[in-house]
Order: sequence, then C-alpha cells, then structure tokens
Amino acid sequence: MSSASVQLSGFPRPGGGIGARNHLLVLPTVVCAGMAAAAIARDDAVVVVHQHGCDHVGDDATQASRVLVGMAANPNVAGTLLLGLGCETIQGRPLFDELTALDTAVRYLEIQNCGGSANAVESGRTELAALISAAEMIHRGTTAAADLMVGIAVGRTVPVALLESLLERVVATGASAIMAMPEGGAALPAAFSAAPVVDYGGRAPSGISLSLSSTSMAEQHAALASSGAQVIVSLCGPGQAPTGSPICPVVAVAIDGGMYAALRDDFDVDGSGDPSVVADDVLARAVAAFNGELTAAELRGAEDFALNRLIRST
Amino acid sequence: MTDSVGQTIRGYRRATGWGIRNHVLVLPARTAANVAASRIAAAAPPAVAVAHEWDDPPGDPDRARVARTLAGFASSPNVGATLIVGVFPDDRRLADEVAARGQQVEFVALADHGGTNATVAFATDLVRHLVGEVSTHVPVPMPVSELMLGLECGGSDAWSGVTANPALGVASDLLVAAGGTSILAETTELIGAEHLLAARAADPAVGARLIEVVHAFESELAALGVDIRGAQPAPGNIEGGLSTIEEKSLGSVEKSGTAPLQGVLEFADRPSGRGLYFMDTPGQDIEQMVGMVAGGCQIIAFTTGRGTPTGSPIAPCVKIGSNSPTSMRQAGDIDIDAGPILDGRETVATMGRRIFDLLLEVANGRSTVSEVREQRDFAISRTLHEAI
Repeated sequence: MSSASVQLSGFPRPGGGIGARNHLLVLPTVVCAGMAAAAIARDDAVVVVHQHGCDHVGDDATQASRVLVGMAANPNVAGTLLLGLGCETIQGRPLFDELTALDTAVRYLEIQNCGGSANAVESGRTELAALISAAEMIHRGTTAAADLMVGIAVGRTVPVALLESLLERVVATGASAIMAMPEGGAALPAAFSAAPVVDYGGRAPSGISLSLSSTSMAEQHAALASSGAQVIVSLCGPGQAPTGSPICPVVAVAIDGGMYAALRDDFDVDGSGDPSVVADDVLARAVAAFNGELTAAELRGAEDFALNRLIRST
Repeated sequence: MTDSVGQTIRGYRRATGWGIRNHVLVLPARTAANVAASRIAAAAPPAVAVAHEWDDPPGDPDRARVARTLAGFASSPNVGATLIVGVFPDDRRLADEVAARGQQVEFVALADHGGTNATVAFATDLVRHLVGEVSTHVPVPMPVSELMLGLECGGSDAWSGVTANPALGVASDLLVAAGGTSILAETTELIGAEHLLAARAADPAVGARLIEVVHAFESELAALGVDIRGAQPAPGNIEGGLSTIEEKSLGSVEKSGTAPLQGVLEFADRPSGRGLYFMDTPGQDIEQMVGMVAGGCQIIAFTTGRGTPTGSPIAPCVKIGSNSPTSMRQAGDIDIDAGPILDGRETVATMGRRIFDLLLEVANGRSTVSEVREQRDFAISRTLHEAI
C-alpha cells in the first residue's frame, strides 16, 4: 500500500469495542431453540441457528460456551437476545451473566419458562423491539485503526507470500489480525511465526495472533468472530467453498483462479494474482467492508455458522 | 394386542418404501450451499429446506457417517423428490448416493451457474416442477405393518419413566404386534439399563452386540478422560427429579415396551426386518431424530417432561407429555398428555392405546403441533473430529 493510513468509521460499544455493523442478534443457546429464535429474528435481527448446546462433555462444553459468548460479545453486535430452552446442558443464565459483565446489551428468555415456543416467540419479539430501539441510538463515528481486528481464515495451500503481504499491511495500518487455521495448516511468514496462540473462539490480544481451528472455513469464521474480529478475510483454497458469517462481513478470496471464475458471484476477490496486488485489494475491501460496504456473502444472505466440536455429542 | 393386524392406513407407495407425507426436500451438500437451498425452498413452497454445519472438508474422517445420514434423510419415503444443492460439480456424489436408494433426485451446483444468485433462479424453477409433479402422488391403502416408528425422549423428568415412556412402550408393542417396526435409540440413555434390553434379544448375538455398543460408547468417552455424568442427567432432568443417569436410562428404555429386540443398527442404517430394533445414536435429541428418519422412520413419537418444541422437517413428530402441568403450559408444543395416568383417569395400557391410535391418525395425515408450527429441526451427528 502506498499509505499505511486508513479511514475507519464504526459503531462504538459500551464495552470499548467498535463495530463494523450494528447487528441485533438472536442467539439460541441450544439447537432446540433454533426455530423459535429464527421466528423471533425474522428480518429484524441476525440469528445463529446452530446444532449444539446439549449433551456436551468436558472441554467441548467449555469451548461451545466460549464461542456462544464470543459471538454475542463481538463489537458488530449492538444487542443480543439469548434464547434458551431450559433443560439443556449449556445453561443460558451463566452466559447471560458473563455477557452482562462484559457490558453488552443482552436479554435472556427460556422457552420452558415462557410456556412454550409460541409464547417465547411473542415475548422474544417484545425483548427484541427494546434492543432495536437502543441500537438505533448508536451511530458510526471515526475510529482509530487500532480498534480494527481483521480475522483471517487461512484455507489450504494459501501462499506464504500472500499471507505475509497481508499481515505486513495490517501491521502498517496499526490494526490487529488473528489468523485461524489447523495446526501446521499453512506456512507462517517468519516474522509472524511466534504469534501468540489463542483457544478456538477465545478473545484475541491486540497485534497478530493465531487461533487454532479445523480445516472447515465456516468453523474458522466462527472462531474469528468469537475472538473479536469485526471483518473476516476468508482465503479459500482449492475445493474450499466461500461461506459467510452471521455477524461479520466476510471478504471471500479465491486462491485458485478457476474456482473464482466458477463462483465469481460468491467471491469478492480473485486471489490468484501477484500477492502484493492481491493483498492491497483485500485490505482495501476489508476496510470498505468495515465502513459499511456489503460483501458478497452479505448480499446473498449467507449467515453461515459452524461450530468446531472437540468431542461428539453424548 | 392383535386387533391391529391387517389394519390399513393411507400412504404413498414409492421406490424408497411407504411414505406418510409427500414432501419435496431441498438439501445442501455442504454449509456453503445452505443459503442457496433455503432461498430455493422459500421460493417454491411447500418445499422444505434444511441447513447444516458440514462443510465436507477434504479428508474428513467422518465423511462416510455424514454422507450416509444425508443420503438416508434425502431418501426418506416421506419425501417424493429431493434437490441436492452442491457447490462443486463433484458434490453430485451425494445425489448419486440418494438416487442409488431409489429416490427421485435432482442436482445443481453453484459452480455451474457462477454462484448462489443464478443457481437460485435456475433451481427455483426446477423445484417448482418437482412440487407440481409430487403433488400428483396420491395416497393409497397402506398396511400398518409398513410403519416404522422412531422412539425418542427429550427433556425428561421423574414422571417420564412412570407415565409417557411406559405408555409409549405399549404403543410400540401394539405396532410390533401389527407387524410394524419400532426403533429405540439413544445409546447414552441405555447406560445402566442395557442388560434389561439385552435380555429381550431375539438372538444371543444381538444381545451381545447391544452390550458391546453401550460399552464402546462408555469406553470411548472414558479414553478421552471425560465423565458422561457431566452431561447426563442434564440440568433440566435433575430439576425434574431425575437423580442419576441410571434412573434416566431405566425410564428411557420403557419406551421400547416388551417386544423382543431383533437387531442393533449403526447410526442412520435401515433395519433389514421388522419388529423392535436399537439404533446406536447419541442422546442429543435432534441428531438422534435425524438418524432415525435417515434410517427409514416415517414417524417419531417423542416423550417430554420439561417440554421441548422438537419437530422434524419431513417426519411428523408426535409429542407426548409426561405430566399435565407441562402439557397444559406448553400446549402448543405437546400433542397428547400422559399425565392422566398419575391421577388414575387412565392406565398405562389405556394411554398406550390412545397414543397408538393418535400415531395412526397422524400417519393418515393429521398434522402434529410441531408440523403446524413448521418446527424443522436438523443436526448432523459426528463422532470423529479433526484434532485442533
């Protein structure tokens, strides 16, 4: 990039972060509450309809809880309605308490306490309306680059030169980046090989860090969103389809030119060219996405979510 | 118990078996096709779409299990035709697996149309044609013996093992006596009661296999250093009066009645004969339900004490409350209340007969409350995970 300075404008949050979006989130704490959550969200909020929350054991329960909290605590979220069923393994009340302690706008309902799904949807609509009113009072304001955390989902066979160019540009702006990839999934540029490693979905430190994940791009996106990235750059390798995120704009980059051509509507950037040119383009798109430009995934309504699991459901 | 022999209901006779619903299903082959599938189905009602979190990553050790689940689900006899939405042309292999099971299937790939938007436009017309064609399928008399019932419990309480589960056991026995098939599942919820079911095995090898499956599950978790008791009983079970996993299991196994156990099935596998079977599934309600439907169940009977909204996108799910307060409080989520057993207005036997009659009525076309609410739960069961 000719200049390291970027102009950013985002939504300030009480907890200190700056959002690229002003999303309202309806977050079911368990698969059984997913349909009711979607019925509450309609077109007024984003919803994470996921397949988890019950019958987790060990570290897998901790990880799933961490990601649910992380999604709701992401600065792109102006307010969250947590919807539990009541009897599930991952109880919503402690998640609610954690989110409250993080100064997020959060409300909590349980289907079994509401008298069933229909009543929960009705109560949920009321709670959501209150969250929407509060969110409407929040407006974009000028933001320092230090408030930007770029999430980079690193797919298969991503050239080290591209990763290096991209990270150098992020660092030059003063922003932070967290990369998600499987252990040993891509060669790390030497300058960043000692980056601190955070748990899957754990809060990322400022600077450059690394989140371990699986090879699933959607699972990587969930980790990055949960870690606090406001914009995700998704470097899709051959055979890795472009996916979105419920709460983060995703700049989808095809490493393979043929795949870009075949799926051009679903990608934002053809990543097969000169790494420094691609890196310039990707960073410019990420900045524009932060400032409000919709990405291909947002335009097609791709609110994809997949959670990494450490242990099978019991 | 034999008065249901020869009784007929009405169903759809298909190459995949006898169906009791006439759905058109739009199934994404991987997560990246979820939004396309959802938009296609929304534009072509009453087609139904499901979404899932399987990205088909290269070298996924769980691929065979997941593909069997998706292919089995898509070829449920409750589905008249399926559209598989892939991303890459190679995703056609899932459509091929569905076709091999006798299902009418179409396939589109996002990469053949330049992405999601053009694919949705193209496939919407395709699905509208499927909807039109499937609407001409007419139900014909169907023997009750062709019904396959999935037995499930979720959000159990201390009453579940006293009212709803034993009553469902009676209904299951009535179906088996009529020549039908019933599938018990939830390996986790057999821990501590496996010997009781094994003793009912039609063949000693079946009983041995059952014990083996339960023990394999326990040792798999033990090898990971986790205690199953961290998840079982779940918080709501405990609040509902269940004290231990064994107590929960003793109540859970009641759903299977008294019929002899004919076989033990892998997850999402179809039984080869009739009668009572056990399927090796997790206790997670939605993963289990998808596995049983993929295994051929056209109808699910689901008991609940705490009250859950659960339903399937393609199979009617009859919800049975274990107690009247919950059944009344969550009337919109529960089809029949087994609570009257507690105050003597019904016996387990009379309630079991009522449940059986309701199952036949629902098989004949009556909508369940979860169908009316379009509660379309879906989840994929995985056992192997990439280490991270």
